Amino acid sequence: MENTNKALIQHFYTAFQVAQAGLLARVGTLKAQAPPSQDDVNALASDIAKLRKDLSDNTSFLPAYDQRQYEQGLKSLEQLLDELRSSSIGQPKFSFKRKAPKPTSALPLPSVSSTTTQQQEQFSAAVDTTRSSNSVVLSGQTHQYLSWPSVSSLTVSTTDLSISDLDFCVVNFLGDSADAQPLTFTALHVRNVRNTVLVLPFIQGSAMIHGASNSVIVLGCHQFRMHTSLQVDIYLTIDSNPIIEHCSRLRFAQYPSALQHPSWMDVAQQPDDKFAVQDFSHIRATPSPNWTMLPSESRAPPETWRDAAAARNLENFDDDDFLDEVEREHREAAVNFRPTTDHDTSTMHEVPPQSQASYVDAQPSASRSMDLGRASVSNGRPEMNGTTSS
Amino acid sequence: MGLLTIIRKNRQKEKEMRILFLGLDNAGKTTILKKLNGEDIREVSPTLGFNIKTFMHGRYTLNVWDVGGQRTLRPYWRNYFEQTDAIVWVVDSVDRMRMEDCKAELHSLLMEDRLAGASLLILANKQDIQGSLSPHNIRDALALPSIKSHHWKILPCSAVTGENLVEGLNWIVGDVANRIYYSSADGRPDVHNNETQLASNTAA
Repeated sequence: MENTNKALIQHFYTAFQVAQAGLLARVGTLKAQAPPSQDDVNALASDIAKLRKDLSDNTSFLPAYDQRQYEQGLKSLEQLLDELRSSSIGQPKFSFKRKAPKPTSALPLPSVSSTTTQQQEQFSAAVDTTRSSNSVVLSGQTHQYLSWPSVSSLTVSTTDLSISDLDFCVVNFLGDSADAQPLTFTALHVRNVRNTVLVLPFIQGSAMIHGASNSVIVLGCHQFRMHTSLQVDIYLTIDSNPIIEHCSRLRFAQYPSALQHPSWMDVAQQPDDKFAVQDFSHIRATPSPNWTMLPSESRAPPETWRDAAAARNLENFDDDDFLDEVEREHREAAVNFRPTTDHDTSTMHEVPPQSQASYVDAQPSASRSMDLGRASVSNGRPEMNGTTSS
Repeated sequence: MGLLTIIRKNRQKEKEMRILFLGLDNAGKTTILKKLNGEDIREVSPTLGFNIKTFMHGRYTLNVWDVGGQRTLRPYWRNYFEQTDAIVWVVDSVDRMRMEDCKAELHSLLMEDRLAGASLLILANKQDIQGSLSPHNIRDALALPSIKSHHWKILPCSAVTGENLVEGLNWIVGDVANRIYYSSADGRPDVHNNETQLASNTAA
């Protein structure tokens, strides 16, 4: 027994040495070729893998010291192979280069003139892409009142809208009420807006809002998604369920009727209690602590909206007052906000029972837990909406 | 040689493929599928988990898995990787601000071992919206030419108009068929012949 083991060890030693020397020689010749051919490299890789398998097959009788030595030999071979691979491809397969000077992370850019072309240039720099001239981009503004006629000379009435990096701005894109044909946006993308009021018409497609804070957003859309946002009031009309993810202190309310354009009549107006916000950060049966309905007394009064609507022509709109009011509201909200905890299935305390939002009190878990119940995780994967059709 | 035999023979000719629809949220995955299936696309709401659609395309049965793209759901994508023949990566061509995100997700997906060899179709969706990025721009923004591990193709499309949806499906089915079934997707190959070919190939 002693002898056979010894013989095996000896045998493996020579076999391994021969194989290793052979592989090293092949690495050498491949390295000499300018770009080593992919097939050769792959063949080499499989031979190295084979040698590793031999080693693991024979660990039962190899002494620990020998095993370590073989292991090291293999490791250095694999390292050489990796080098060969990267040189044969020319560059690493995957590179996740972040563009460093992104306007998103930078301070708000000085508000240059707000022609679309200039902003488009900023954008194309950020994503290395050229843009066609028929989308509306608002970017890098502070302390501005931005309305539809003021930012665009576009003649088309259908376009998409991108808004990014606004601070202390009011954006009023309701368009001219006198205009027979209101402006139509087909998509909305919002990123990094702070202390800002966005008043938008009905978006034909989806709205995607990322990184909003301390703001008020008024819009209608088919789909609504909001990510990583904090302390935002949303006046919304929507015909699917709003989705939120990594958000907190959101408050939802109906789209103000004063701002509705007659041509949106086909848009489904749902009553308050139909808001079923789906919170991906809270996939449980309990109500999400990250959003509430906006109590009616905290909502902007109808006069505000009438003012805003009247300001479609840019007159009479005291946006400073409006902003002040929004800010005051938010300070109050921040003080009063007491989200329910995960264990507290009962109610949202801060909602007064007489308010319009009292449904939360009245139906602590019935309607909402049903909606969220669909979003429950089972078997380690979310199984909701799972429908089969053929 | 009754009816049953004929049905059975037909069944044998059907071949299944498993296709995974992935992409960031708001890309239009569900809308594309609904459009392909002839359903109403106005009622699409954000996908909370996944949808499965099975439909016939030519001689193939496609099992299409459409998994939600919310960030919270992305870790669950890997539950669907097993035995996937093809990936359809849907891109919102209007969402310039998340192209970097989109690129990172795509490339990390492709590093997955279980997806090795799967065909990859990139659909540059929402081309109906004016101001959407061209497929050329998206190819560069997503660094598609650096993908060497998968067969890939990019197509501009629109879930609203239906532009290029069927063409995309044709490509993916053809590519998978060439790889797995050793036959062209358009022809009407002899099943028996294919199987012997397959066998000889595995033997070699």
